Amino acid sequence: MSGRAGRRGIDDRGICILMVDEKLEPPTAKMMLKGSADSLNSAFHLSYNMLLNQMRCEDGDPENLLRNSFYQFQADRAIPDLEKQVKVLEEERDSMIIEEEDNLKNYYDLIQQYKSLKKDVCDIVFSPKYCLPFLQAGRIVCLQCTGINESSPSFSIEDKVTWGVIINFDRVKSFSEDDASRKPEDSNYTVDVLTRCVVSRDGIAKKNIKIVPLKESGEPLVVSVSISEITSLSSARLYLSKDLLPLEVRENTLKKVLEILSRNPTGLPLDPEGDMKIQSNSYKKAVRRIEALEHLFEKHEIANLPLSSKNSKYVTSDDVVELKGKVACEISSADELTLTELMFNGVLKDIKVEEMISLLSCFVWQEKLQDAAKPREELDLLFSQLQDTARRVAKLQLECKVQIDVENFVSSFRPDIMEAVYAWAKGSKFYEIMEITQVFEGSLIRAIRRLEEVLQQLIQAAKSIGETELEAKFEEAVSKIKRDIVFAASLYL
Amino acid sequence: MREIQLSLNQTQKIRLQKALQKLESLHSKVNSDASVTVADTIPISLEDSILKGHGTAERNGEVVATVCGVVERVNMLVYVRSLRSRFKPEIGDIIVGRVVEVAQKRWKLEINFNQDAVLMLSSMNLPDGIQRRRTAVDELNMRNVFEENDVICAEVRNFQNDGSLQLQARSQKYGKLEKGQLLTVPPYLVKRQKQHFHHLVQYGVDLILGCNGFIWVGEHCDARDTVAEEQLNNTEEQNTKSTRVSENVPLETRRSICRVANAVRVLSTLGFSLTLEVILEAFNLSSTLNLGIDEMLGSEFHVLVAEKEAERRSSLTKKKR
Repeated sequence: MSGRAGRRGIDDRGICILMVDEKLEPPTAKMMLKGSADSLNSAFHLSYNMLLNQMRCEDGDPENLLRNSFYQFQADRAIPDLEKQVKVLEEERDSMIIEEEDNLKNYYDLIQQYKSLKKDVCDIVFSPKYCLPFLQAGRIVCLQCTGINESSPSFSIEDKVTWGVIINFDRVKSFSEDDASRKPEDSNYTVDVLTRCVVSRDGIAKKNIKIVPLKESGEPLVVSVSISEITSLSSARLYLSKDLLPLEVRENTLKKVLEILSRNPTGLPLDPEGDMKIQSNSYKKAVRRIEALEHLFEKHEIANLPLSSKNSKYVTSDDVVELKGKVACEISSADELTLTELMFNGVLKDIKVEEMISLLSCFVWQEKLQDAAKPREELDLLFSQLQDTARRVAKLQLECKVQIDVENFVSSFRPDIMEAVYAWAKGSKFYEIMEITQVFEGSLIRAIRRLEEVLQQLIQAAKSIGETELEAKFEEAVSKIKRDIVFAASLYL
Repeated sequence: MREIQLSLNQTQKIRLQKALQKLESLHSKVNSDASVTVADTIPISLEDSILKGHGTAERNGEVVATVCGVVERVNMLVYVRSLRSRFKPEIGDIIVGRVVEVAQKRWKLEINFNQDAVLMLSSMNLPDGIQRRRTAVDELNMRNVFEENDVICAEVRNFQNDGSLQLQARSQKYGKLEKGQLLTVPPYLVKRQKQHFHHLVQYGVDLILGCNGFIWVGEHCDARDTVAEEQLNNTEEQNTKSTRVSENVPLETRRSICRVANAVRVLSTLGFSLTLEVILEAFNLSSTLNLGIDEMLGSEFHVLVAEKEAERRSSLTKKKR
């Protein structure tokens, strides 16, 4: 338990009363009050700002910095444990004797490749763009049975599959994404399929439905499956009766499916290129691919960061820091590369001060807010410019083989507080801006204070490139947000 | 063509002209149309939002240059980089300077800039090497560390509000420079590079290229350790200091120091950028020709160096292709 009771600077002793409104076990309460502290795990991350500042001095050695860090120390400490694990696993492996190991290994590798290629083909065939027109009621589909153990690798090419009939399909509403921005082709779909299942009741009223092959025992039920569980579509369609509630109707339907299957053992699959008219190039490539996939080998983290600095003109090829690099050296409170690119592209120059402040707020807000209101049009336009710049920066890093996920990086800039900060910059009172958004007050205040730090650093950066107009703009921005309760040093006035 | 202050006879003049023309031809393709003089308009497309950097100003809706130089563009930033200008310091630059004043808790150094640089007592390693707060006793002993007219090597830490520099000398390789020569060259000849401290092993000479145009050539010291020096100083009295300094440097090393220094002087008269390779080239040229050290400052050697440099650069560009 951590915290402090009493007024800062005035009380030297405080009383803390713990009120519990739920039933709490004594051991739990004891652990809360007297338990050990959270273990301190280093989250050290070598940023571009650090790297550029090191390169500025003659003696800067970033590898030395990493080597002497607490993060490295903890990693080194963990080495003996990892070595022990390695030993144990090696012993286990040596004790297992497999005949004709090499051949088996080749065969296994081929199987893995085959499976991954098949998966690629499936992904393309079953992307909603192509398969939606074919998910009609009554179509027979081939499904994967549940209960396939993913961890134990299978040595056969054939998966355990069964057949069923499509009843309906539905679009999945995902909670985290903004629905308006997603096009219908990109969302996920679930399909309601009538097939044989085994229902088991698990403990406290939870139903577990397993899909089993048609010939095994079970009941005919309608289950929702996601598109990824469908292995193939058939060109055969049944006439479905309107009412599927009675058990006999469902049994009859399944019997019809069995008959069709017995007459046509392959199940009459839809030909992707012919019937479904899939023309995409990626599909053709995947189908024709025979060679093994290339694996990207992982390079060490440091070696790749300087390369991306060089490629984007922050540092010359002799490791002398250039003008852009000097600007990035000044910025340490926000993402330095994206902010430098934004500044050098002139985006910050033409817009009004309040709009610039809202744009910069995207850099300091890292939380994910549910159901955030979309900012107004001009701010949204600026935000999309920001996203473009971020995407370019991430792609450049990717080209230099730094492990970074482009979309993740771009979506780390959130526009959630743009409206609130815009209002604050215009001069509204704090309670007014709290009505605009649903964030916690503390988070908003922290974000605005951090924004002021970023602005101070930007003033220094603008001074170093000699742009006096931009410098004056940043100073005006600081004076607009630095006021009232947000920047009060202490609430005990 | 810039004027070179040498007394050359006719043939030497022609040879020098030829060599300089050759060097020009190797580099003239780059940016020759981007050079501007004061009040020239800089061509920009008006739709883009151009950021105006150093050396530019806005006049009647146009962007004009305020200095003579070359126009550089980085994304939307346009600025004019002047070719020959006063020393413009950056954070992290290596500076060689001379102490002009011992003030309260700081030393003032002269560094070829419009203001004297400041080296705080707290930015300097203490003689006993311990990290602690500087007390009044430390302040009184400042003169034992550096005195007036001492030559010091330091690094730029930051700029103060009035534009003057604040230096720091916390690493072992910074500090007082002894047993050597200080040379002054125009500051734009020293370009910023990865390394400014060079140790010429085979001659036992240290070469420090200060970004402010002060170059130090001296005997090599392994660690500029003020600890050992302080102890030596305290056991012997101050009046033997100057004789002690000149005793310990062997003759050969002194010759090499003078040769390197003359090579730097020749290069700066010719106006070539100072890098380690160029200096070593000039040095080797003079030793292969068995020139006396004072003959290096004659006009014949200048012409030879210019020709050699032209050769070297043309072979480099051929290699690149």
